[in-house]
Amino acid sequence: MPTVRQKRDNSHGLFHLAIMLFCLLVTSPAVPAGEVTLVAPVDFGSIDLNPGGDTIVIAAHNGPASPAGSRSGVTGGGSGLIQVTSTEAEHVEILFPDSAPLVCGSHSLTIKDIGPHSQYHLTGLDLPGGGVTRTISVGGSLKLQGDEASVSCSGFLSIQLNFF
Amino acid sequence: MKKTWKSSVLLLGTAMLGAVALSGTNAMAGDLNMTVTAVVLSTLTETVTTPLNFGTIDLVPQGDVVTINASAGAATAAATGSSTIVGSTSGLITVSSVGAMTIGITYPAVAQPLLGAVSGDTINLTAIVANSTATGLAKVANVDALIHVGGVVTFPAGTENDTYNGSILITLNYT
Repeated sequence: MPTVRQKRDNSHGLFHLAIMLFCLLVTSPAVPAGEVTLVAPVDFGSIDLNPGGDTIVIAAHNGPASPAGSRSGVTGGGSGLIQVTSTEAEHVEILFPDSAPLVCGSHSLTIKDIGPHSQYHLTGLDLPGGGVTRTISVGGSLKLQGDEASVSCSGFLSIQLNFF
Repeated sequence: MKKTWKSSVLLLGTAMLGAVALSGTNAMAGDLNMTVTAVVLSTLTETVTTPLNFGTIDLVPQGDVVTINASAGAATAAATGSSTIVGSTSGLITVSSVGAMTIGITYPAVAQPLLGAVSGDTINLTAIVANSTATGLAKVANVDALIHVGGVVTFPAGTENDTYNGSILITLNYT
């Protein structure tokens, strides 16, 4: 009995090896889909806030943009920038969050309209391959009530990039 | 035997997953965490430093037109006719902030009523835009911006002796 069992185990081993070899034969070499680089953060700048409140917008849907308020003075700042490249032609789907929190000392603010104010929202981006680089500008809007104290705010946008 | 079968299934699964992972389907997904920053400054203040005051007008019987032309700075009232005026002054709004900016100023474009406290009569304040600081005022960093406000009041003949009051809405936008 022990001898018979050993023989059957060996046959399974050969079977496994054959499957693995087959699988390796039918595959092609792994190719990196693309390279993504964060170049610049989203910066709403220094907002000299109108006491009546305001919404600060970085309208980067057509490319790099500066923050602007309709009632407040804004100095500095700019849209975020992502660089993508690939060796082969790829379509890049970009999923922006609906909103993101900004921590401002003991309270928080919310960045909204990130997708509509960013590049390639809904359409995605086509990379031609060959290492050609494309950039994605990222914006959003920040609503301020006008009663905020002087404070520095920071947070993160989680952006998903899918290469096809 | 049973144990051997299980290991076969696991190995087969591993091999298939390996094949998928090594296959030529170039799909890749990843999350990026992009930093976002903002600095909010609450240093901007708007103060009505001085109200617009046409003063005490000793009105000639036939009526008169009284103008405060503050388009070039602080001013007092002047009558077209021979009415005499004391104690008049243009309005002043002071804007303070640390930042440099351009101030967009929107004055009422239509006549603003001034109501007689006793008589209940109404006279009109007009031409505010033409007689006040122009929109697009450049504010220097850390220096107050001054917005002077004037206008024209036409007193018809027979205007009742009274104190006439009103308010005007001026909107300031900063860029």
